[in-house]
Amino acid sequence: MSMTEPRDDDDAMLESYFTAARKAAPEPPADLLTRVAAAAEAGMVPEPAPAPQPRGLKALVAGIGGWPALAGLATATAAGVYLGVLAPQTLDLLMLGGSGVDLGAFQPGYGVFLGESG
Amino acid sequence: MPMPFDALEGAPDEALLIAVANGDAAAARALTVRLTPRAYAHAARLLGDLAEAEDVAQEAMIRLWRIAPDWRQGEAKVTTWLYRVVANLCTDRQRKGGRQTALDAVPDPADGAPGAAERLQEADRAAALQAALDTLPERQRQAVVRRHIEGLANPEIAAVMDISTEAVESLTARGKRALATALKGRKADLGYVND
Repeated sequence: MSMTEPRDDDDAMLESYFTAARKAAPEPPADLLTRVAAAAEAGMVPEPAPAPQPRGLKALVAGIGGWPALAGLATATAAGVYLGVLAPQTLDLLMLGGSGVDLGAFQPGYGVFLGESG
Repeated sequence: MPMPFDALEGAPDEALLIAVANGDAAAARALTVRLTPRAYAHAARLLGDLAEAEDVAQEAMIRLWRIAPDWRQGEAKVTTWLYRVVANLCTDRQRKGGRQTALDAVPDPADGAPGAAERLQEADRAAALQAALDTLPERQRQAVVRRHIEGLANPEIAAVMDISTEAVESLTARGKRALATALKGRKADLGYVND
């Protein structure tokens, strides 16, 4: 064995000291752990808060799809009211321009079930 | 998304650190409990001063939180990074003001440990080793503490110290020789008749 290497008995002696040091590992104070964990949480970006929910008329408009959707809905409603107010014969007039064709001819009948042809 | 609670315990350090960067408070607590004691004990052994060690451990962990968002996966172990930061902080403190108080408070072993006389002897040995470590050159002290007390493998110590494994072996060998010389004088006093 080289004279520059620790002898075996030195190694054994040192190992007993190292073992003692391992057993006597200094324990961190509890408040150190608390401070470290708090520092981590303090540096975190908080989760974005949920956007406030609209209420009343705003909630109704938002539920439909916003003001543009509401405008489209209003137009459709007005057209429906207009057609509903007009008398059926006026509808005939509007659609066929007084051509003399009876709209009833286009309506499905029961003839198909009765064996009629044409 | 927070890491599931039962996954925290076995998760690698790096996975927890990335979770911390994503705002996972539970991962931060798990990493705090896992790494702070190591940083603290390492600093205490390098500095020989518990109060200073507390400051160093806290600063090192805060730096870890700061770099978490920029952590590059797979490049280094978290513990390697932490040991290096702790060592650098210890070096800075020693250069600024030197040691202030000796490490004289060796905690008692847990219940169930050997009897009172033997515990006293163990505590004496730990204190004597710390006193001898304090006399070593800084790099030797770091290498011996990491290899023989904290149980790091030579390649990890080499990575922490940014030197070759051969250089680590040289440092630990020289450190152990110096420690043996310093401790032999106390051997009889501490009753090592069977060692």
